[in-house]
Amino acid sequence: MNALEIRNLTKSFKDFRLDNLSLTLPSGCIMGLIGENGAGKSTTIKLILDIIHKDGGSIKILGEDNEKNIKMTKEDIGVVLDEVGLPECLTAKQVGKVMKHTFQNWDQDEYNHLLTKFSIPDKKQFKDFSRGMKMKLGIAIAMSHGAKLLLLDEATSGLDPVVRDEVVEMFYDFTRDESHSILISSHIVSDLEKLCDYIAFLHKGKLLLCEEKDVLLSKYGIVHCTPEQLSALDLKSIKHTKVTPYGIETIVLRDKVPEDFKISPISIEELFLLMVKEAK
Amino acid sequence: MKGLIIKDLYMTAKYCRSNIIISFLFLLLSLASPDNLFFTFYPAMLGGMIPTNILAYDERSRWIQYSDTLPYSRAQIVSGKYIIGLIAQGTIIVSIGIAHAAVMISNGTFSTEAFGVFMMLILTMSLISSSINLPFMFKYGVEKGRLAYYVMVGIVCGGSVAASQLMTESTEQEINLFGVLPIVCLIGIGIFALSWYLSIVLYKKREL
Repeated sequence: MNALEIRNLTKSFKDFRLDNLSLTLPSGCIMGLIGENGAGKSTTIKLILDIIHKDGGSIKILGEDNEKNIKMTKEDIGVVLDEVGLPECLTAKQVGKVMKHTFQNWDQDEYNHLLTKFSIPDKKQFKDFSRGMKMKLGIAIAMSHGAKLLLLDEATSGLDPVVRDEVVEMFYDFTRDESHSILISSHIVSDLEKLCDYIAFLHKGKLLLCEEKDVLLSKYGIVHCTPEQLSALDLKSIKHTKVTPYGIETIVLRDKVPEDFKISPISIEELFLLMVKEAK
Repeated sequence: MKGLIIKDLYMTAKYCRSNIIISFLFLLLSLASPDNLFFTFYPAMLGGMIPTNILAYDERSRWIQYSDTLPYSRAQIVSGKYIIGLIAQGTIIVSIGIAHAAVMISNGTFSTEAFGVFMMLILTMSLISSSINLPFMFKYGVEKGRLAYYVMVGIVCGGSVAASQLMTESTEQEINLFGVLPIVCLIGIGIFALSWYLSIVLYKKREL
């Protein structure tokens, strides 16, 4: 079963349009939604949760239409928004009491365990938390009610590198169960590169590509060469060329480059920047 | 929905202490000046303001977006606020009733009919006052919905003056308010129910 199926999703605002977005997240996988600010990542997540209403298309979460019985479906979804959104006067302990009466499968022991693991004080008010601490509390809630799907909007931003690594590891562990999946949006591409099985690039409300990460990395590469070597390359193999003081750097399609060229691996970030430049 | 009520009770205890203290100060004033019904209506109105105050904090903390990711329907989110309002207003109205009845009994002026009229007036005014605010807040958000607050204060002030005159006239002209007020009270309940329903319908359509 697919955790998430989005078909031809469209939503228009005055100055922005999410245009015909289609993507599929298989169960047991992690998909990274990459895009610059204003690309449509948060809009997509809000549409999935029916916080804002779509103009067209369809969304299925864990096999269920997102507009039918979304209340029950949300029992199986853990969400962390870019602004966590908890009342400022509540403490982590009080939040636990609220959530205990919110989720049918609330696991107080797991919540307490995560509070300890993240060093979250249980008697400090939420307004006195740092951004990283707020995010950690949001993540602790999302992972304490037996969710099958996590929707994370910029959930790793604001975390220091050590905690970020810890959280990324937790997300990994979460998807070891094949019925668990994650859709995570971020503009910190390095996090997603490490974590994701699938990568989707969004730019100005349009999906530039949605592909398995390993396929992407095996499809594209970087060739460092001289102008003479560049002219020997098939034009169809060249995706982007950059002239630097040290020579020419070219992003290429690996299978169209002669074997005698040395091809270096490309990062998802470089690929994303290439796609955005092409789209412009 | 229990989680929503618990959260709102925590917030009431933290943010709405002044509403509760002022309500009880006005209650004391109303005992000292029983003819001025404003002192009696105002605490009940303040109780009805608690959901609006909490809604403002919910907007500021972005709880309204977050609560929509939790397993609650929009109808439950709206109903939670009305229930908190009913709890607050109910507590205040019952306190007013007990205090005034105690004073009337100690003065030897207690009459079931007069007390019934008094309580029905407070109930009607408080239900109507809290009915005006919330649909606007749920439709437009707290900032834009503030206008409704001023309308409501106007209605309460005007209503309390009109009610005072009505009670005086009824005594002078021996009009049977005890017979008329249950109908007015039912209309107040109807307006409150309509407001509740309207808020649900409007909030379901709102994009957060």
